[in-house]
Amino acid sequence: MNIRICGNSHVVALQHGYAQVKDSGPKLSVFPLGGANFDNTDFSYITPEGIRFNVDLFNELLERFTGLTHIAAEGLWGFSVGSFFSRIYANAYWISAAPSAAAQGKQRPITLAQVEAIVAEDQKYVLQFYRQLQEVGTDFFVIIGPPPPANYSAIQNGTPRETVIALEQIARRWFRAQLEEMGVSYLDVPPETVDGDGFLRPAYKLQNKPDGTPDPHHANGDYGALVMAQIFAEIEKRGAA
Amino acid sequence: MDHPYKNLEKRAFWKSAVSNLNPLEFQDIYRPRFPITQNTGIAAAGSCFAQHIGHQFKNRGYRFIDVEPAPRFIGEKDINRFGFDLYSARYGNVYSVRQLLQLFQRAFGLFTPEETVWESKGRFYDPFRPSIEPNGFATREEAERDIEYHLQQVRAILGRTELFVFTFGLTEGWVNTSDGSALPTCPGTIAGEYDDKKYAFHNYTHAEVLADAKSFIAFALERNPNMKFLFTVSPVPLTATASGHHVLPATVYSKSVLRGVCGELYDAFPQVDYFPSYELVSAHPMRAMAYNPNLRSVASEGVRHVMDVFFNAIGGADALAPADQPAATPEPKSAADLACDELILQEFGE
Repeated sequence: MNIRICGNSHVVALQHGYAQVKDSGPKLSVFPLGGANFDNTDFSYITPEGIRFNVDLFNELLERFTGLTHIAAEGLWGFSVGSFFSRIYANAYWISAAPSAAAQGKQRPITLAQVEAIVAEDQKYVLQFYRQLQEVGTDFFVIIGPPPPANYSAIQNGTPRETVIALEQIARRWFRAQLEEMGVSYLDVPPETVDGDGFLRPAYKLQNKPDGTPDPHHANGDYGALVMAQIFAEIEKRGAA
Repeated sequence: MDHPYKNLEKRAFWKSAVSNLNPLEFQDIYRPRFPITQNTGIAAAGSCFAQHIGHQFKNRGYRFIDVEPAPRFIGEKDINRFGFDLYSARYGNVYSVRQLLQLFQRAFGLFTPEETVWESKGRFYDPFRPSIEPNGFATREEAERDIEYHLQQVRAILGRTELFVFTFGLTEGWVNTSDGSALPTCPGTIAGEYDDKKYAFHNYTHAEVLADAKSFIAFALERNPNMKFLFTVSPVPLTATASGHHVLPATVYSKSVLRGVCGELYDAFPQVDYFPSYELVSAHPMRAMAYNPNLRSVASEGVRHVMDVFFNAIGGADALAPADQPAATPEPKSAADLACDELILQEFGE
């Protein structure tokens, strides 16, 4: 059976992790579809042959790494698509506003329901994609992305760390609840990679990109290796190896 | 000497101003008392019909004050659902002048209701904005923080407003008997729990509405002596009356009181203008054509007609609507997004 792990830039960590642990699990392919910046666009649609993308890059990469032009009911797929919540909290708006329970000083309190509505708006096309996969009959699971590191750029730029982590946790909780409601299996962040406040531990943070410049928020291969262990277990559970 | 009717304008005679004309073509039915331009800072409150007025000001490019805009990134469908973008703050429908007066007094610390949060089935509600947060607030603290922030924002309105537009909605209302708090809805209908020992029906009299309106005007002028007021009466009838009368005469009574108060305020205050939206929708020459088939809600064509009359009169019919303005420059992709693309390219690129 073809097992494919794909999605946004988080697959870089998964690819590095797979390189570390591939001898202990089934053969699979790890490849990107494109940046998470397309998550909040209507990026996918259903055709009689399966799912196709409205983003040329996604179609190109799908074909390049799989030879497929559509995602259909063949093989097992793990998608790292969605749960890129830093698009929300990276914005300077959150210097002056915060989820109500975390608001401090002069920050405008935003209710939990409103924050969830913001997340829902941001992730609506991601959930649409997963519904399309269900409709097509694709066997798949979701890989939820890592939280931000404590030295995340928005925090350095003035957004209180309590605001960032509160947004992150509301978004993550909401996203998980949606997947559960839809009956979609997901792999959550390995608990040992997260510190007591909810940030990605430095040991699991990608320090530099391949060109040597600092990376803002991705996880590294050690993180990816832990997720790959989860992926192997999921594959075994499904009897798909 | 000619008698006073001899040289009156055509608009003064029923025959020439009404019966001989198509009701959609009445001329000169509203003469603005003072100029209203796109630079005038306009705030609005009132019953649900006032939402149309606020939207029209915004859509036609007027400087509409909104001190409590929707949080960034919230979806279009959620903006009104959470009570944003309806009025100049997130106060929901303000049906009575007593409610308006108490709202601003409370914002300035001059009125403190005894009951500030209702709890129902583990959710929490603002008695003065019971539907502002669909499904209620998550916790009492969340409700209290939101109310505190809301009142802070309301306090900012008066200082920034040059024209305060208020649509008088109802005379019938519900009050908390312990402190006289005017509630927008009967407890137990949208939120809260009805208790006849705590809450009472009150049909505000002409004298009460007039006194409350005068108090509000004085309160606002004290904080902003240059403020002007544009009053209208909502043409939307009562959904139901608790007065014991048939809902039709109860509606006519209520609207008559409000219309009468507006007339008296116009005569008493040079800062007050009245726009006849009520007449343009509900007066009998209009033959109820502006209403939907339920004869209660106003059809969008009716709203458009009323607002066209208004904007034609103030000289703003050709005002540039935001939709006609050049599109804003799209925001660049965030650094984080760019970083993601770059990382993929570096890792998997050929």
